[in-house]
Amino acid sequence: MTSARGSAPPALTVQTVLYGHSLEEVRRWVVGVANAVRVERARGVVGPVSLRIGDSSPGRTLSQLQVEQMCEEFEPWGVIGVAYEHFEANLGSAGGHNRLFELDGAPYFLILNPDAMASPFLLGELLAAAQDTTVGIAEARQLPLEHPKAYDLRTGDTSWASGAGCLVRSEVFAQLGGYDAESFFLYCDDVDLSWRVRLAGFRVVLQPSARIFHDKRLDLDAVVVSGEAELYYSAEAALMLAWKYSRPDLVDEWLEHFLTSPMHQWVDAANAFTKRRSEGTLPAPIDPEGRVAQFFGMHFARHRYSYSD
Amino acid sequence: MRTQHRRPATLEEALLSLSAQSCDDFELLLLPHDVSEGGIVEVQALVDAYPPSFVAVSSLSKVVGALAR
Repeated sequence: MTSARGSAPPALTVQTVLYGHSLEEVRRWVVGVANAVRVERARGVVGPVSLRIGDSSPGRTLSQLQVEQMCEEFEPWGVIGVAYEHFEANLGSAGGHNRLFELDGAPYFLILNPDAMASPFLLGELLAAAQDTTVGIAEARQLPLEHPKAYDLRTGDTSWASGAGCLVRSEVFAQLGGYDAESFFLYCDDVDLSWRVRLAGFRVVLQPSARIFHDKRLDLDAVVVSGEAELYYSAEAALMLAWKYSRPDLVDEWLEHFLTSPMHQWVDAANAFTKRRSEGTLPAPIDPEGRVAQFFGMHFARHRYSYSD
Repeated sequence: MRTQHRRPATLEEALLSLSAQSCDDFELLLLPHDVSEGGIVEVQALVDAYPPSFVAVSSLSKVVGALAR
């Protein structure tokens, strides 16, 4: 099999991190990815593909037997292996992906949330974007709630790529030391990675023809439904991002906003941040000239719309 | 869902959304209306790209001429 350019199609690893997901949800994810492998291997646009599933849940989601059965079931579809690791601890999204990542010779790897279903054409569309050697991350477009952040309609360039579904150049990820899991446990790890990729001279692009169905829902006020953990960690991550990208003015403004909020998750996040600051355990600020960091309120790119407009 | 003219990308988005549902107790009927043979092949190929369990509950019936209301 050869690609359109005559060279062998690239090998690929697809990785995800579980936390409290059911076996049924994991199976739906695997079927979606394996089906995309089946379709794109038949077209000759992707080489051998392996899956890596990390598990931060308190108990194992998959037994060894179930992993072996998945390997056997999806090998005819072109999946050369399914690796499963129960972390025995909650490493968060960033820490989990760092643990799973290996510089194994594959030029790219795909990060895909466990609640995201791959389009049959996802791999080929993302690989087409990543063929441009200036691209460090190629992001998939999310359905049914398309992310509102702006992107260049001609080039796809965007401020940051969502870790819900994106293809990452492996050497760049390794060069940057992966996600900053010390600073970002659950949210904004993808914003931070994107900005460091851009500081390293690579582009971050959205590929609108690469689709994933990401299971996000809106409440009756058209606000994305968030749980307790999301409220806490998104506030913590926003403070961390402002700090790391040299915006002490925003840190002060947001600390006051969170500390005076009636929501205890925001107060707790502000207190945790203040404690780390006093202990000197925050990351060293970077990008003092604001070359890549963008702050539009608490958005990290200009948004084209809001869901509630 | 009803689309007009040639919108394979919109159809793909609809198929992806359906294939991702946690409730899979449904059948999918596709009724290409006054579509060329080439178009029928294109729609069928799009459906066939989805997992076999989804293809198994999908069927395509070509419709020609005016539809009764």
